[in-house]
Amino acid sequence: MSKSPTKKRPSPAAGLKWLISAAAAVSTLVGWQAFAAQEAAPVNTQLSQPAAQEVVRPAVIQPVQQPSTLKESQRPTLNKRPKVRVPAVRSTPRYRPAPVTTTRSSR
Amino acid sequence: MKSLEFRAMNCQMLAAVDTAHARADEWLAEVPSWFANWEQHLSRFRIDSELSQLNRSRGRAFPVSSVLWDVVQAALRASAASGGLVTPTLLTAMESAGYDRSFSSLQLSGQPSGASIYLKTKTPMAVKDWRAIECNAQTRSIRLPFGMQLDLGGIAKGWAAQQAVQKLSQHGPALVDAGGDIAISGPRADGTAWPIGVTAPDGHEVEMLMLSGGGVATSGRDYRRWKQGGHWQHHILDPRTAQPAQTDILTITIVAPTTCEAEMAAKVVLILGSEEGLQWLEAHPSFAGLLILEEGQILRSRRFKSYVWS
Repeated sequence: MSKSPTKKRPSPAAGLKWLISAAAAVSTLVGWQAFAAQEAAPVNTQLSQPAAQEVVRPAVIQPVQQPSTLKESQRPTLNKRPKVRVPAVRSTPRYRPAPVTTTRSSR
Repeated sequence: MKSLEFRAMNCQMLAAVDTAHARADEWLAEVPSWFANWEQHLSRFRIDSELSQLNRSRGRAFPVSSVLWDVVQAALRASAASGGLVTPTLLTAMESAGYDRSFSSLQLSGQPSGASIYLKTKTPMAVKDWRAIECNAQTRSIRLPFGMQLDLGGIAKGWAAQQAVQKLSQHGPALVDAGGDIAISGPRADGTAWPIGVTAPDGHEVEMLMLSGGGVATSGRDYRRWKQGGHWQHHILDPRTAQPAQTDILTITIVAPTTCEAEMAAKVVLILGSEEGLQWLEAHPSFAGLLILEEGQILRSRRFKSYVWS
């Protein structure tokens, strides 16, 4: 009498092992995507700006002229920063007083 | 602030008191009479002054008023402090050099107007030693050696400025300018310093002093000069030569604790000249000075900047 072939059912331990492997594979895939997404994001190289600082933009943007069409005096110069005027700190304004008298020998 | 200008001791005077009191003008109006009184004691140009009487005392002990006594003592202190470079015994030498009348009287008598006058030539006389003057505090008398005569000049003006400012200060902070000898009683009513302009001989302002007390004196050979024997002479005599001082300094302004001290120091530096005079100033910490030289160069002692407006 021959035994009918029967499918061997996996053991509970083997099933748990398979589940763990599958979960690890999914986790790796998700992690890689997050990493890839992070890699793809642009790097912010700008210095942080104060929140309160007001950015002044010109109301009208002038069309850029080609340097060759500009006169010598109109051409942009390199390394020229706008000067910042710092007011002198004085608690009270000082004025040169008018003399009560002046020195003269034997007037 | 109230002020009054007037003439006394052949100079332009200014008295100022820093108060808004209704009687301020009344108080200032008294000041010219104080100077008139002191001039009657101290002038060498008035034959009836107390000083002229002392000069005629011919070697006798001469009892003097408290005014003449005080000024002679101030003059002798100046002589001692200056090592004899400032001395009241220059009168004979001064007259020999040609300065034998007041400039104002010479102008009135028809001499050329202005500060420069032509006078006759005389032979220079030796200067008498100030240490030969005998003073007796008990009898308040002074004995001049025979032939010695006193000229209290700048010291008398400095002393008068100090006296006037002291008397005025009972009414408020005060300043008195006696022909360039300036006395200050203390800070102004609001606690600030008194602004005093330092002017060059041409009249332009060189510096602004801010002073809360003490004295200022200016001495120079740009004013009160005369021509003798074809050469310009001036009224600052060097007692070592009995001749007008040979100096590269045109004018000098000194800041000092008192007006008499400022007057003495100004004469010393003028006589010594700029190089030696500045060394003398730096060696005396209570003085500060500004020198204007013949060519217009301006020199300041190290301590002078602490009195300058900035």
